[in-house]
Amino acid sequence: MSTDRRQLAPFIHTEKSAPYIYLTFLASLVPCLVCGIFYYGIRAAVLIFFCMGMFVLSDTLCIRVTHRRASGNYFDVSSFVEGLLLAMMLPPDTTLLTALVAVLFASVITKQMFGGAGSNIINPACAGRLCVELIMPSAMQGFSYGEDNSKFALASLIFQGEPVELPNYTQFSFLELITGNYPSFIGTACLICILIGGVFLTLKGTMRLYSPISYIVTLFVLYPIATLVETKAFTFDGLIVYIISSGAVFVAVFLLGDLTTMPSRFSSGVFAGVVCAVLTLVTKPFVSPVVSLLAPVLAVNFLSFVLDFFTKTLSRRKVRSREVDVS
Amino acid sequence: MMTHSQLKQFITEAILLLIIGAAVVIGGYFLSNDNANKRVQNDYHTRFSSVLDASVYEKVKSKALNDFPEIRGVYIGYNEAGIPEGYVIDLTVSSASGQKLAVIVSLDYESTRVKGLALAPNNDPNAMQISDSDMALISEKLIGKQIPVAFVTEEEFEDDDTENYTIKGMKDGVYYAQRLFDDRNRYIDYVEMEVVNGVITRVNWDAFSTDKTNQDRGEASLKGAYEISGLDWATQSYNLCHALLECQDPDRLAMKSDGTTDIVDGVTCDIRPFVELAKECISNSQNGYDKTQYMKGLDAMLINLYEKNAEELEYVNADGHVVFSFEKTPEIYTIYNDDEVAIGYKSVREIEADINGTSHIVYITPATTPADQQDEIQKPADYDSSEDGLTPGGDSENQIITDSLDDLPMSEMASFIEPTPEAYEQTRTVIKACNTCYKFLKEYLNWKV
Repeated sequence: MSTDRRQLAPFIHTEKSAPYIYLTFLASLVPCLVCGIFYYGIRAAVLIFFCMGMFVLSDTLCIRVTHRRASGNYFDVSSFVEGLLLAMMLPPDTTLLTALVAVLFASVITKQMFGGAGSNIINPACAGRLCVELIMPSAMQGFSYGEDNSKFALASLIFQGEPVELPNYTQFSFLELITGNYPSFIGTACLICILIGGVFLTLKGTMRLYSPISYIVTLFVLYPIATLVETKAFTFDGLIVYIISSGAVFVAVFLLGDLTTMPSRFSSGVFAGVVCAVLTLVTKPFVSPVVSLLAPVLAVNFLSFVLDFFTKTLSRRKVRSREVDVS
Repeated sequence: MMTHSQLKQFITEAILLLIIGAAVVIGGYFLSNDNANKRVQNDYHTRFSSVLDASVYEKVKSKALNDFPEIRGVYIGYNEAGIPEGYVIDLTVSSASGQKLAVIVSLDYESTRVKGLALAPNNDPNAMQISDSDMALISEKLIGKQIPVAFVTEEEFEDDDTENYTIKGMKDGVYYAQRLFDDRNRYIDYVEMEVVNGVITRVNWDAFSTDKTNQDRGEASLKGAYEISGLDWATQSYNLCHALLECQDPDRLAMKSDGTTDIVDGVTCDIRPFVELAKECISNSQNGYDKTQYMKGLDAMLINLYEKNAEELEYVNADGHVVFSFEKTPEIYTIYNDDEVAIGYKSVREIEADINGTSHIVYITPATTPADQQDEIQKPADYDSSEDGLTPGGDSENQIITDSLDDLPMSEMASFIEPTPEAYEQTRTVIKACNTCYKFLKEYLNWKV
């Protein structure tokens, strides 16, 4: 608890202000950021700071243009968070131009058009990433790895290289997979780092666990069925490799745990997580892995308001009926 | 807004997470890297063991690879003692018909002989198909051969074993030829050639100025008075003469249509005067028309025009060259076709034969001044040098490249194989792959050839 003696307004019942939540979120992404920079070097660092900078710039310009200027005491940290979150989901050899397209879509279309920080219906970073995946799919295949991956290479920031086919992740050892030593997006590879971030957010109370847990559990339960239907063959190794390497854990922790865009109630949160997992598995055979992972998140983002509304109404009815019974 | 304590707490936590993250990532990297290396080596073994059985393969990182986009990767294979066994080069080359052939070539580390050949998986819809039996035949022909490799031809069987190649019918002596007109800088090119035992043993290409007070072109270039792009003209002339001594035939210098050649290191100038004069020298040699007779031929031309010889006209310089440009009397040395279009130049020997009436060729006198037509001269087949390394008039299907192959001069070829008749294009494409490997290694190892 804070030792600050200043009194909060009487209607504020928590110290978890918006900046506090965003900065906590930012801190939780630090291990993933370290992992990305360690494995992909300077170009990853440039890409990350470029996304963050451009997101802040874009948000600031939008606020100025629309005259929705925040008070002098409030600085919108959400832009940094969204920029970093977006960069974490980009391939390491993404050009700055592609990153800029993603940032502008995320910032202008999905965030500022809905009223800015805290008012957005869908996760801006998720939408931005999905946007570039759909409109520039070949620009999203820059995965230099192994001996082709130079930590000091910068050319890929400007010039789009040849698409790189990702290897079969089943070749990788469990240790490589959980430590992020395999080709993937900048910040989604290291399971341990993601879990550290998740634990940190949970401890700080800035993450709801309903959706992430139900999402991962559903994936575990339904993946064998989906795989059997799709390929008529299932291995437990395949399940583990999919959960670790697909980015599902990153999505669970940082997108489905979001306070703004995910349902706030237990039942609706669980329902959203289950729906997201089901949609992911259903769409997996037909669309690219990234689309199958992110599109369901946006779908449940849209649903969350409705889910919250219905669960709230239902619970009120229960309370009323109990009250009636008691009386 | 956050309170100061919250901000401090955030910074502390962020730093803590940074340290934990770094520890996890770095620790994880070192713990898992062994697995990664093993997996990479297993992958290399799967791909390369058929061409080079090595204990460890190490990928070569070189800027030289930037010049060879067709090469996907170059590896050095080491044995268990860590001694390099050979190179493995994974590349995709295009055939003459544009089909893509993905092939893995292994070369001995010391001798760069071909140690193994294998087809690499190729998903290209335009991929070249080689059957296993054809590949086995091609491999049999190439394995053990030193790169670069070329096809042998019937002609080469008879008299062209490259190292001992000579032009037939050359008589011993000193032969000379000079241009009959000067160039823009008022220089007249000349080539002097000595033939011993039918072999060209000495060649000199230079140019003297029609202004007797000026230096020869070679000397002027060394003193900076005559400048061209690239190396100085004297050095380029020396390199070209040296190349002719090696290849023994001006046609094998692979002069291109613009008068340049790609196959002689350091030569960027127009070599057309050299090639034409060297051919004239060789023709003179075959006809026993030596330098003394050539000078007499020039005298005959002057006497025919001015009724005086070079000595009397004081056209002979200190080196004994006849310093005179016949540009004002082009009809004496220009060959015209029926449409009175200039199509080439006659040699001094032919002009002398004309003057003496011993020639049977009938030439038409042009109506216009041939000097004006010099730019539009059409060269007859006899005067064509081999364009871009191709034999003029060869069979277009299976044309044998005699002057250069895959941008390599034939004089540089280390091995020759016979083509597989039923898989000619396939064999040729595999040879191209081998020669690409050679060019890469030449650049990578900075070979001096």
